Amino acid sequence: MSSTNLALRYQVIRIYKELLFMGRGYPQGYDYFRTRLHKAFASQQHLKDEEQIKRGIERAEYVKKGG
Amino acid sequence: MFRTAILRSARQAARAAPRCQTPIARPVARSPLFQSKQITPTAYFQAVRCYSAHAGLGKDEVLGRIMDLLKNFDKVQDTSKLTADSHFSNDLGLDSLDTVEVVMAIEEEFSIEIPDKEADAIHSVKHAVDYILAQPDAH
Repeated sequence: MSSTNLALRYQVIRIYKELLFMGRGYPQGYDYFRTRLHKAFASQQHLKDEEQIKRGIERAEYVKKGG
Repeated sequence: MFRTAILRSARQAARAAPRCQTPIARPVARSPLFQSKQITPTAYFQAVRCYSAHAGLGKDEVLGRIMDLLKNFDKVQDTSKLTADSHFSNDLGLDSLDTVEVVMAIEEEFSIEIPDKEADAIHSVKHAVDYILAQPDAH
């Protein structure tokens, strides 16, 4: 894995943690939130292209701000 | 300043120890092993318990707490495979996102913060235990 990819990986993990942390007070329960978030991230795991991964991170940031 | 204070108290303790036991600085254990030998002041000084000193976490305790944490993690279906050296993805069937969650739970359990790079390197129970044991501020 190249260094930029590794940096992107850490970014993804970080935003995943941040979103998990924010989901603690979710109305339908934390477990509901966690499984859905997990699915959302897992559905994007095929992304290999850096640009696409960056776009995905931007989308996660957007969700974070909206939530 | 601090060093001179330590040296002074050490000297006082060394001087006071052979004569009598002061009520505040009492030796922890006086086993027959200790008494048979000639008691040197330094040995006495080391036997004084410092209540502010860090007791440290035992390996068994750390392992037990991590195992409990994993037992309660609902993604781990097969708890029979949970042993002291099970691998998160190979044995417990967790993916990388689950591993992130487990590491987060470990961070909370021991009230420490694990940097990204090290967190990413924890892949098994054994790794986690070793990492926690190497942290002086883990609780």
